[in-house]
Amino acid sequence: MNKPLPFSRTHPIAIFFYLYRFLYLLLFPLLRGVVSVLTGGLLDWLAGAWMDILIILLMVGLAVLKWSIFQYSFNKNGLNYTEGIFFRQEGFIPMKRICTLSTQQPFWMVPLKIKKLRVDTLALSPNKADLILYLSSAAADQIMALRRRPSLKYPGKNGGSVKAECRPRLLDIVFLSLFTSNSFIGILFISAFISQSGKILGNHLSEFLISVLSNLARQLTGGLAPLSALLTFAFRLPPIATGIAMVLLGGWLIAFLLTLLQTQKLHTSRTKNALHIKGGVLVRKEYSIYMRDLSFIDVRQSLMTRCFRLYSVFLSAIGTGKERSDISALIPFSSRKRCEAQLRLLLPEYVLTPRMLRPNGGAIMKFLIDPLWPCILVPVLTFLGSWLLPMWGELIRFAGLMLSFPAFWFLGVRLMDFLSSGLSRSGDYYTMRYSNLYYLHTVVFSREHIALVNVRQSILQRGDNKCDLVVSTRSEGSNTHHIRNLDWDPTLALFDAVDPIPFYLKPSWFDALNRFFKTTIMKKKPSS
Amino acid sequence: MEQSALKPALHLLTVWRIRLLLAALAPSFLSAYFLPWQGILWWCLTAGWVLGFLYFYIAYYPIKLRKLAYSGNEHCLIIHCGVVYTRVKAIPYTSIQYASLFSTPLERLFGICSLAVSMAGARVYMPGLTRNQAKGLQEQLVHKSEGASA
Repeated sequence: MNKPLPFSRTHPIAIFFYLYRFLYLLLFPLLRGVVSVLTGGLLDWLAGAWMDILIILLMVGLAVLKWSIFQYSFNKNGLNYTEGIFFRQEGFIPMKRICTLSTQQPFWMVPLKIKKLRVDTLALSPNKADLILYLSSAAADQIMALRRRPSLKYPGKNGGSVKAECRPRLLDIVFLSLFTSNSFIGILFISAFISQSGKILGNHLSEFLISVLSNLARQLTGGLAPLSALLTFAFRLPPIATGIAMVLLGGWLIAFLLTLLQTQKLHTSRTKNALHIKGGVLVRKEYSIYMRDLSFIDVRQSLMTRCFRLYSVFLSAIGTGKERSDISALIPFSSRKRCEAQLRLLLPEYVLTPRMLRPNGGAIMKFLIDPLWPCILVPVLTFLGSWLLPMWGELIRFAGLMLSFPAFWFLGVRLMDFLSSGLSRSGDYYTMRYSNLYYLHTVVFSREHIALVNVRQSILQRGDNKCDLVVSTRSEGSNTHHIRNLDWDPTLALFDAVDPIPFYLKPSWFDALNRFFKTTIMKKKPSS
Repeated sequence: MEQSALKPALHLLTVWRIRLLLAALAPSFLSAYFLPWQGILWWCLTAGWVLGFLYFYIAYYPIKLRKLAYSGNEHCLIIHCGVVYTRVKAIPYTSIQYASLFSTPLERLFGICSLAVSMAGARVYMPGLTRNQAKGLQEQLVHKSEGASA
């Protein structure tokens, strides 16, 4: 394996994906068609049809040429590749620089025995993989196996032997899907599916789908008549609100199923220097992540899971989480004991340590001020609205009730954040506890993954020398972690950011006043 | 960097003020050209931009310059900044990818430039350095980041 393999081409299916890049060429036949429609020259259009055929042939030709020119050779040292029709590029990505190597196999690729291989480094766009190759399953598996080889010199000997494995229970994955799915994503998925199907297969299918869904909805309303009746009469919901509730419920169900299918059959294994994750039913995925490229682990909890004392662990690494179907959960759902045991097995370096710095009791309003506004304003506006517009009273009251839920939920999260947020350090690893919108995060990262430590102090915080801490961790995009109201000096000390000569930190008037106070008033006291 | 702090050159304040002056031309032109002379709207807009101009000219930029300072210790590069918020930005040498020099025509006129320090996922600017200072700092940072990651 030491000598470079001969260059090979990717699977011919790649031609269809390359066709996408030349779709803009269809603009010419389209423009010609529009001109013909406007001038009414059908015969002229037919006479010039050869041009449209030529353009389509050109598109196919370019895609085939692109596929033919793109060649690669992968060995344990890295990936050599050549690409580009007009601007020829010959590249080499060293294996050391590949942070995440992953494969994906959607269900339709299974019978064709094809896999999509993604190569990700620290460079280039944070939203797109650096290189995507469509390969036969055997070739993709062979490349993935290179990362697990015990003989792999980098980053250490025996880096490939499996140290620990973890297979979560089905119930854990069901819980993860249950708590992390939100209906909005489901609704987005349905609308994207319908609009995309319309784009790809024409408006007929789109119209057909819409009519099928409308019929289904009518039947569902009939079938779910008791539920609809319950919502309408028991909760006195207006029909429009019942409709919205049903749509949200349906969306949530779809999102739940999608998450379940994305994370099902999750299998995580740890070698000395890498983490290997496999899973997914609809899209089979496999990731190989070097430990040094793992930015942080995130123990994420919602208010409900905090109450049930359930934990789920997510990871952030360069190259993961770029697509919606990516797996980012390492431990789907577990009790505290099980979660800690699994973490000790898979990631013994990442230890959750108890808080060393925490916000003071007087800072409660800093945590509660954001959710307090909607909590006060929504009920007040609902009352005013239903009083001023009695005709719309029922709908306004319902809308107010619906809006109050997230507002009070947010208040609960912030209250919990106030009670639990803080910072600690153990060796080179930091643990930050904070909240972001509706989630409580406990994030562990190593010192070498810190990109920027931003300590800021507002005018109100100057009195008791407190500060807000925002830490950006090293990744392709920006990942920031924010804790409110910690002590200024210990925070700087914890990040080794104490300035040797901080003479410009304190305002001169403060110093002058202090000096005046010490030299005049304090000195005069003993003499008097 | 360990022993001394670096303050930006005073010329930076002049650069900021000239930039502010140029920015103030737009609202003054708008109020003079489009609004009725000494009407209520004219008064509101003129008062708005004059007050804004004075705030930035007299208070904001001088405070910003006063609080801006660059220093470092054995672990990280430290930038003190902020006007309303007092900020300390600490950048571990290990996370520094590269540092590059930038200068606008106005900065070049006054013989100063900015140093942009790039990390993976973040970037910070250090304005108001002379070319020699920036070059020296750039070399130091590259040297330290290489030393730290070795």
